[in-house]
Amino acid sequence: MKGGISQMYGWAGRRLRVYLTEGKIVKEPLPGDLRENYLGGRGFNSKTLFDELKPGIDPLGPDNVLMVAVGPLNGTAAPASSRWTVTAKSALTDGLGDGNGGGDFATELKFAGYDQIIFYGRSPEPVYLWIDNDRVELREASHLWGKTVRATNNLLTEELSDREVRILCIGPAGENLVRLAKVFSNVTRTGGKGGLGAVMGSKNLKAVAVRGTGAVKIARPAEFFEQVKHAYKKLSASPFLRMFREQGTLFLVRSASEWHALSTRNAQSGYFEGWEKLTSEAFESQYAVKHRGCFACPVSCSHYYRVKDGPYATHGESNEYGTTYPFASKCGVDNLAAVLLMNTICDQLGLDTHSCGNTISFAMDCWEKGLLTVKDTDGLELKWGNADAIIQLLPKIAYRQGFGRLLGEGSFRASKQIQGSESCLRTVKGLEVSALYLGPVTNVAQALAYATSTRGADHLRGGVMLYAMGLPRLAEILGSEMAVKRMVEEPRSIEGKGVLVALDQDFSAFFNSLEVCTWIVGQMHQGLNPDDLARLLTTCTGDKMTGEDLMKIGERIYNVERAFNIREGMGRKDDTLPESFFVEKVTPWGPTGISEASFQEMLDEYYAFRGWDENGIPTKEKLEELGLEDMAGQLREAVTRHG
Amino acid sequence: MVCSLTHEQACSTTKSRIRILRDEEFGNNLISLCFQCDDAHCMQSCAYGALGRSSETGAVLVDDHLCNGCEACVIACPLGAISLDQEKKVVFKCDLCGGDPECVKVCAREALIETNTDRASKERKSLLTETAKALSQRGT
Repeated sequence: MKGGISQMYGWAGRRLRVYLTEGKIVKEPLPGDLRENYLGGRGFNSKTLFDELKPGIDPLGPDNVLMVAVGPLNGTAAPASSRWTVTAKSALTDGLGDGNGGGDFATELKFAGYDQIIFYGRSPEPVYLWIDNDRVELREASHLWGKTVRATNNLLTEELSDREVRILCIGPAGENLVRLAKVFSNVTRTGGKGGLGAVMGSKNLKAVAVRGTGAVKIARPAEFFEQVKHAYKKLSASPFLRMFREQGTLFLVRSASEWHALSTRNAQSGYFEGWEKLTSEAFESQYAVKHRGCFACPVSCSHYYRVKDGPYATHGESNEYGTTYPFASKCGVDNLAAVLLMNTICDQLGLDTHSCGNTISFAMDCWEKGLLTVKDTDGLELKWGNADAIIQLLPKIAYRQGFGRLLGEGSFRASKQIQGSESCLRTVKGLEVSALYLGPVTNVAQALAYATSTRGADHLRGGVMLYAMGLPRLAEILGSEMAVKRMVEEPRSIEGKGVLVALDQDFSAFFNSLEVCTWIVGQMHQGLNPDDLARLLTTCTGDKMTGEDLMKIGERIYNVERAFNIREGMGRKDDTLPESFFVEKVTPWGPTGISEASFQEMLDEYYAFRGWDENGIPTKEKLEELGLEDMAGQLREAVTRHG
Repeated sequence: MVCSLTHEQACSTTKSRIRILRDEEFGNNLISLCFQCDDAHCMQSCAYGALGRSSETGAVLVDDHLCNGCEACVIACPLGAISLDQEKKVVFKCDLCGGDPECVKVCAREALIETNTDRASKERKSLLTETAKALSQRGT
């Protein structure tokens, strides 16, 4: 069968609607509005979610809509253009839920000729979607139900007799509607924080398998190739590239420890005494096998590992900072081999290491405070550092057994069942706070980014990549170099942080929609900036775009996501932080935490710069400026309804 | 991707002269890329005389007018480095881009290195073999 040869440059130009209840599949052209105003991936999904979802529905019911989308640069030679975005109403936050993953699923989908897949309803039986270029069908998946992520991949590859089939699937955790479940591609690449694996499971959809032999057409091939070479050259010159390649995200263990920002024992402090056993150097010398990259990636940050023997013998891929800190420092574990085994178990059962580790850390905190006893935990002693208990707990969570059933609901819901545990909670909008502790040198902008992120506390939606836009551009917007310098050099000063976070969020919104990886833009100002990406996009699609245009698109996407959350009943009250952030302490390394008053001041500045009113609702003028005036009515209605 | 971009003006793994089969479990990816063998089985297998060696670069080239897409060379190649273009119905393979390979320019990990392209073929072959070995060990 002939591949999906696109009639369009860059985009494939088609999307799929899959009605699972009826078993019906509809192919349709990609709307021009989406292409021009939302770029791809995250933008497509967020807009479609706003347009097609009824407010107030149950995220795990048949009314939720699950989407997978890719962007115009996927499947081209543009560096690290390998990402896909999965979106639905989140099972954890009841707001927007999305996640971004790598591998080469996204490129294969483009080669098959599709930009977006939208799943509706709920299949009566377990099924998987098989896309073989133009042939798309739902197939029975009862033989795959209950299988781990790796087994599902192996069985499907065998069944479809093609080793080049790319698979997106869930593990047992997703099937069992565990709110900490994620969606997996290439066995270990994950996306979908906020329980999107459970949403997929609730639809009885086990997997999406794709084979595409078509091509992505390029509008101006020679010029595009020049831009690609320029991009590779720029990235190769960056001092960060080598560090990312050699260490992956694990470099953050050392950095975070030096900043006293390594979240320790449920974020009670930012310093973990066993951190040296967890660094990339320790990993590299004992367990690393080799690294591997996603499609068209110059970085290759993912590491294969093998623990040869001992009680924690295992092998797998992708030991990340996002695995290490939640299970290690946050739970007080300093045994790297045990952490690697936990990573393998999560990857196989389909669990999110971030939320899962953070939820267990919450449970350990409750245990240490005497709020939980052996009677509650099926005999497990959840002392700080008890790695064996965590390893026993993970399957219980995935299969919803005993105490695992409670934790599988996520820490936010679990805390409602554990009396007096509110002070142990570390969530924003129901999603567990990730990445960094608000230490003495952590930029307070990070705290604001957690509070205002559209998918709940999140380090990937602005904050960590501060200044990624490049200092000259920031200086242009703020009017002076001095203002920028203050922002960078005074991490604890609140001035200007609202502006910084807003710009960074817009930036992440558009590069997530282009579906290029954080690593190639998130290298301080050494990576690709909006102008570089605009040139790549222009030569690829033939539509003229500038860096400014892209930032505008980012802002539009962010406002759509905000509008979705407001319609679901969120507002200023939800743009806040766990109470532990507001406890100001003076540690030997400097002051930590932030006062509530300072935080509110930052938030006011942020709203003002965004063009939102004091309750965080986008004003009519802002919506008109972004071409979103038709959302104004729905927002007004939502504000009246939710008070 | 740069390979298909240069040759076909579109990005596609199916039309790339470099093919990579991923091994998800251990990361031992298989890379198939033409070595431009001295004792080229593909040339010997072609009944139409469509495959010939360039005197400038030493690359084995396909003459699209002579090729009738019988795929004998695809089977003859021990490396799996020749594929059939499903639309044009002729085979395609690495032509070393006329002596200036574009893939080398974007390989950030320096797994692909440009080697001496004159006809000192022994040297060329051993270097290419090493390159391919290095490539398959590192994965890309």
